[in-house]
Amino acid sequence: MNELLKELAAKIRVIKTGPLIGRHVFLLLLAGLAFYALANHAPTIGVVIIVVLVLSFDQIPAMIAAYRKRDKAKLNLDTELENLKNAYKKLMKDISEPELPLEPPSSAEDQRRQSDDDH
Amino acid sequence: MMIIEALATTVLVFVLALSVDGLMRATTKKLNDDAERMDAARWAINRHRHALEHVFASESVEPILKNYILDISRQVPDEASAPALVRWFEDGLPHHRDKTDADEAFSNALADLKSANPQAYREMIVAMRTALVAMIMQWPDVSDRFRIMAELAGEDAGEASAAAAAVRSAATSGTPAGKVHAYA
Repeated sequence: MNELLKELAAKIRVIKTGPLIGRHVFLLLLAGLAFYALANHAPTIGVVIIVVLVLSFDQIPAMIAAYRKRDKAKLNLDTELENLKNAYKKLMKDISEPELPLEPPSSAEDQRRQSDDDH
Repeated sequence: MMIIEALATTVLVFVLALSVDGLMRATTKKLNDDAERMDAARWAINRHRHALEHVFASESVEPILKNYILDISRQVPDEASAPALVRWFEDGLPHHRDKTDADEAFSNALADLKSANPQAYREMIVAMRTALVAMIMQWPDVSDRFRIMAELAGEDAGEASAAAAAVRSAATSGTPAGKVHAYA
């Protein structure tokens, strides 16, 4: 089973890398096709064939995926910056708050009562 | 005659198609590079935040160090911090010159922390380094990004703290960052 899977994976790799290797050959074939169309009084068809096939060759899916990847990375970065901002605010608050004394400060009334007791 | 015209048109279309193809490939590469750069910045900010929280959770870290690292942390999202850092590196990493009292007190407190609490010291250095990395990785047009990264990785902790001090001073002096910094 493993051998079968390995063989299948090897075949998939060959299929995947094949068109990339023959990119320029493929473009030359397209140019030939366009030349044939143009020479046979069909310039529009020739141009359309070239433009459509070249544009959809292997770049459009890759570019769309790259746009999505970039947008996701930007979103994640913004989220992380927001987390840092919140953490900064919290830590700033912690550090700027004065430490609470162990005993609450006595009020003026308490001090007056203490003074009366002393007398 | 007609064949020549058709041939010329075909060559033109072929060149145009190659140009479009090249443009699309370049755009795809730039988008992928941008995504990887932003992922690296996100990682650095995340690590910086955790280091910051660790430093603040430690009782043995003096308030001067906490205030100092918070000042640096505040500069992380600021676009002006990256040029300040680049200028500091372009000047040949000047440090230990024209030290302010705050810088001196910071250095002393950092040295004390190293012996008192090595783990907190390590997190403090990580917080400074990751803040600097986040500053330069967030923006696309920072020159010498990889040289700065290499310097930060290669130099000792003192260089990281000096770089952080340079950014802090540039940001808190009220002057445009990149023009004036602590050690200019």
